Parts: sequence; C-alpha cells; structure tokens
Amino acid sequence: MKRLMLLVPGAVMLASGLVLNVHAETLPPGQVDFGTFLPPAGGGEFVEVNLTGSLISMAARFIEKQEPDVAQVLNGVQLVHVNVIGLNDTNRGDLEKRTEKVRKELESKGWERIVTVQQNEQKVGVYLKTLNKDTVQGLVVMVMDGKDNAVFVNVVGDIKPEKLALLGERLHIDPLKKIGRVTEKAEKTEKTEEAESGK
Amino acid sequence: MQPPYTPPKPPGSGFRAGYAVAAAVPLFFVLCVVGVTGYFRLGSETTALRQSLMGSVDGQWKKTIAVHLGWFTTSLVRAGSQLVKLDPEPRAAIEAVRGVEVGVYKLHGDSQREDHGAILARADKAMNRRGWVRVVGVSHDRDLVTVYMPRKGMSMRNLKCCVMVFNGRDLVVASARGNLEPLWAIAEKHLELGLNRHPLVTCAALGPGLPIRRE
Repeated sequence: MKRLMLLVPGAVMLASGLVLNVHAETLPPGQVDFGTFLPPAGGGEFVEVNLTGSLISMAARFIEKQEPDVAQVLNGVQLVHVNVIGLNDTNRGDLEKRTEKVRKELESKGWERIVTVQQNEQKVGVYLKTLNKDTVQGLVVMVMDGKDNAVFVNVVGDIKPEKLALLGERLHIDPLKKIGRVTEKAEKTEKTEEAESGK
Repeated sequence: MQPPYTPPKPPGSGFRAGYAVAAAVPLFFVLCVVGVTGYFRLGSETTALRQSLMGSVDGQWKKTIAVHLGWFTTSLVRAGSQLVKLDPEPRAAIEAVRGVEVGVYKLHGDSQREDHGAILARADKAMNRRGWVRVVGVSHDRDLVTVYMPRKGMSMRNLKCCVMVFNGRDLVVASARGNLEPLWAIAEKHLELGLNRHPLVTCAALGPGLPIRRE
C-alpha cells in the first residue's frame, strides 16, 4: 500500500510532464508564445486579434475568384496573432523586458532577424523562421514605440514580410496594416543602405 | 352456447392510460411555458459571458431586454419565407440565420473604473471551459469589446460567434449561429455577373485566342 502511495504521485507527475511536453510539441514551429497581455491600467489602448486557420481560409474562399493571388497568400497562413498595448509608466518596463525575453528566445530557436530599426524612440524588429531557406514557417514583428504603444505580431505560415500590409488590409486588422507599412519602409531603407555601402 | 373466450384485462390498464393523459397535459403546458420563456432566456455561452462581466464589476445590474430566437423559430421563419415572394438577397439572409440572441443590461449606481484585464481573464476562463477562444479583444478608455468563436468545428455551414460590448454603463451580449453558404452563393453569383461584364471576358467570348475564356 505504501508503495502504491508513492507510485500514484510519481505517475501523476510523469503524466502531467508528458501532457505538457505534447502541448509544447504541438505548437507549430512558426508560432511564438508572447504570454498573456493585459489592458493597461487607466484605460490605455489595448487590441488583441487572434485569427485561426479556419477563419483565414474562410476569408480566402470569399476572395479566391476575385483576387486569386491574395487568396493564395491567405491560404498559406495558419494563424495571425496581433497585440497592441498602450504604454504607460506602469507597464513600460515590463513590456520592454518581455520584448527582450522574446527576442532572446527567438534567436536561440533559430529565427533570423531580417529587419532592425532603432529610430528616435521607436524600435522595430522583424524575425523570420524558415525551413530550408525557401519556405517561411512564421514571422514575428515587435515594435516598441517609446511613447505610445508596444506591438507584437506573429503570423504562422508561409508569409513574406512585404505581404503583411496586404494581409492586414484583407483581414481588416488595422495594426497589421500599419506594421506592414513600417516593415516595408524599414526593408527599403535597409536595402538602400546596403546598396550604398556596396558602392 | 358458451360465449367466446376473451382474455381478462390486466387490472388497472384503463387507469394507466388515464394517468398517461393526465401526465401529458401538464407536461405539454410545462413544455409550452419553457418554450415561451425560452424566448427571453439566453444560451449558456452568452450567459457565461454576461456572468463573467457582472461578476467582475460591482454595482446593481438591471436587464433592459433579453431575446433568444433559436433553431425552431428561425426554421419557422425560413419555412414561412418560402410562401412569400422575396428577392434573393433577403432570402439568403433569412436562410443564413440559424439562431440569434441578444441581451442588454444597465449598471445602476456609481461605478468605479473597471479592471478590463480582470474582466478579460474571467471571460476567457469561462469561455475556454466551453471550448471557445477570444478572437478579438479591444479595450479603450472605458469601452470593452470582445468576440469569441468556437475553437473547433467552424465552417461556412456552421459559423458561431459570441460578442460582448461594455462601455462602463451599458452591457450588450449577443450571439449568433449561421450558415454562410446561401450568402456565399449570392455573393458568387454577383461576382460571376461582374466578371462576365468585365471587358476582357466579353472580348474572350467574342474572339478566341484571348487570355481569358468564359467557362
């Protein structure tokens, strides 16, 4: 009986460990867990959009005859997660820490940083997870707009950064539209700088 | 001459039929009452969403209205609409709706600024337990909007969503179930008509060898 008493908690711990492990394994390679965000105290801005594959494929079906190219982009996407959190004195520090933590995690897991912008008080980081350098598995955009807000975007699936604005437009996600334009602008600036340094 | 043999009736069988009728009548009334009051009762998801907010905000709540049109009513409306001459668009809209419910509530008395984080956490917990996930959450100043959808089993034929809107004083919870196929068919028809009017398609129909051909 004593043995049984010892075995039961052991089995429970093992089973829960296995369940947690399975849960971690089921997360697609392009998906990132930013953690839970809460609206800022005092009524600041907070937007969270979490679109699953079934909803996105439904949106794709609606436009596949009119705009087959856009439908193809949408069909390649499995999940869109957008978080916009208004910054204030109480949450700024925490969000900066979290951005740093996610950045480190992405780098350790083989994500490639393709765009970095640090201008005035704005910090933009765009990360891409690829398979064999051809297929994009996921995209992460993190923006810390010093005074206004922090933005976290994770798109799981085959999506190129230059298509973010298009995705935001078609799925009616305004923050994604804005972030897409910022990313496009940053990419163009980086390419111009590279070309200039090459000369 | 002896009369033909008739098996004796089991004792009390007449009474049993009487009991059944006697039980059926009140049961019918009970079902009627449940059916009628059902129009003013919200479903479990909408109720859970409402309760999660009311549990997070102090104050006295008063119901302004709560209406629930389930599958029975929407089926009746659909069947009734077959007898009426309607344009395809409104008919498709009627065909698409499988259930709607709306509840409007008002918070009375002085209320302090609500903790939207706590409200969202509580609502998420209640809805996740039922297999629903938050698709949208927007908070600005005292306004809070959330949209939930089932985690699994979503398709054009079976679309469900639950919405909660709160502005610090008024709360609106609503949920809808529908089949988007009829609406989609109408949209496709319009799209095809539009495409057929496209100059390139007209050209393709008139002369072969052009890149677009009408199927």
